[in-house]
Amino acid sequence: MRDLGAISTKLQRERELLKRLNDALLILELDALGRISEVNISSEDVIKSRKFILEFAQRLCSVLKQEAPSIDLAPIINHFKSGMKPVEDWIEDLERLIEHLQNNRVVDDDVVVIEDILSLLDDQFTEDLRRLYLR
Amino acid sequence: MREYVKSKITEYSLILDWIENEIGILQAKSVHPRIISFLKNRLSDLKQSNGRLKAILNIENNRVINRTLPIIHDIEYQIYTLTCHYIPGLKREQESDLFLGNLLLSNVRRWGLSWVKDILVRLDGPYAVLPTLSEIPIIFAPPQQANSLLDMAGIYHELGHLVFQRFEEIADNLIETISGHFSEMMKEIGPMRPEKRTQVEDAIKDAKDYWTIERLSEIFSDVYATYTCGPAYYFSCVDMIVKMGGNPFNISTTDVHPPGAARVHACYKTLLPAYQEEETTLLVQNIWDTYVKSYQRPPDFEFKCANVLIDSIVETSIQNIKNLLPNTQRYSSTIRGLPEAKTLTPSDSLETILNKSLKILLKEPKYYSEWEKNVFAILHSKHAKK
Repeated sequence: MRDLGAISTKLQRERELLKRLNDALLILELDALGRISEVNISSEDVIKSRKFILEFAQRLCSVLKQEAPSIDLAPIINHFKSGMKPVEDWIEDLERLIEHLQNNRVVDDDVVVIEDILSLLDDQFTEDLRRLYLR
Repeated sequence: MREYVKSKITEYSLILDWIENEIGILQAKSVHPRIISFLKNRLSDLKQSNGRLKAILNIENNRVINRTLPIIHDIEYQIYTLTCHYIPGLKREQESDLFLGNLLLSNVRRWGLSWVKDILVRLDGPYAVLPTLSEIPIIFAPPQQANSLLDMAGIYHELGHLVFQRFEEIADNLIETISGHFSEMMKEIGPMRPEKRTQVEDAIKDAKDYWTIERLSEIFSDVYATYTCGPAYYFSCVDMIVKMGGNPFNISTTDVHPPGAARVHACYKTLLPAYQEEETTLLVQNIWDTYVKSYQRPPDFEFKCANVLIDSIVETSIQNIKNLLPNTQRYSSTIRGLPEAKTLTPSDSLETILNKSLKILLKEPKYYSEWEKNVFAILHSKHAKK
């Protein structure tokens, strides 16, 4: 038996989160630039994206504070815990973003934390993709 | 980066045109209309993603352009699935692949896989499944499988991966079970020096982290396979571990499969109590006990794969199968002795046939070859070419 099934399952879950988070961030960044109409994005899409990023940031914060189990967020948590930047600083960045999103402010530099997380998720996804190619 | 994205857009336009052409050729064969329909939808999504790359490029903003890389990686993954698996699989498909595909498809409802619309079988490799497009999975199996029941129970394990991927809550529930087990362990640490305590706590965290999504998928698939196929899969699991050799208690950090001994234990615990006492199971258990007695259990096996933990994993997995797949039939046929095993009835399910096959193989192997030929004569007449 090959491990194709198990790796594909992992990839699918990673893909789902990566795709949704990347799309949502793209929309918020375009909104901050005032250029959503150029790429056929509606104001409802912006509202949905803000909501998605807000919920994601809240979930990540909660997992970081309480160490609750989360299979999807495990690569991010492990990276945070082993990195140079203290976990408390990540939490602070996420809380600032949450506050701005909750107050409906235009988010600009606050989303850097999501850009960093996306980069981690993308690295994990491509690492597993390379494993799949080797099968 | 702009130049790179531009080059990828051109590359994808060409590849997607080629895929479209190939799908058109395959559609003309009219063998798998549902698979073709899903592939067309996927192609359409890919064209949209390529369109999005073009739109991002036109924004001409360095920050926004960083969003293209995850899109490129996603397109690569989708293209790989189509060009390296589906298109070659459909192009090379022979009557034997189609026969096994039809045989499996005729059983999906009983196995609880109501979302599966078609199955592409590729009899050109070891057992595996590609569940990426869960409605139209690809199942790989060795070529002799179109004419032999030996090892066929392995397919049930691959079906387990389909279930595990389809219902994300299974992984979440299993993680909860595992976290609960190790949290209890953490609470039970008695008084000790701070350095020693840190050491023990780190070991517990390490044991918890051992249970990655891939390993959960593997052990769940063993439980699902035993649940649906009964002792025939239990034997298949024992056979696989014994023929691969090595210490079945060894924990490898690079292998996505849990150690063989943990998998065999999970299968045994999944069997209904009546089967645990049944003659065939006792024979298989004896084979297993004889094999493992010369091997030692390393301490990390007892820690990461303790029987009590595996029992909880089995319990959670079975509960999830019952809750999420209420139509899945648990294997519960009774085969009373060899004479009944040798008799084929029209109502025999594939798993009943596999369990009869196991009984004959273990008790009267000389009769096996002739019996298997009879089985395939019937199966081929039912499931050969659409």
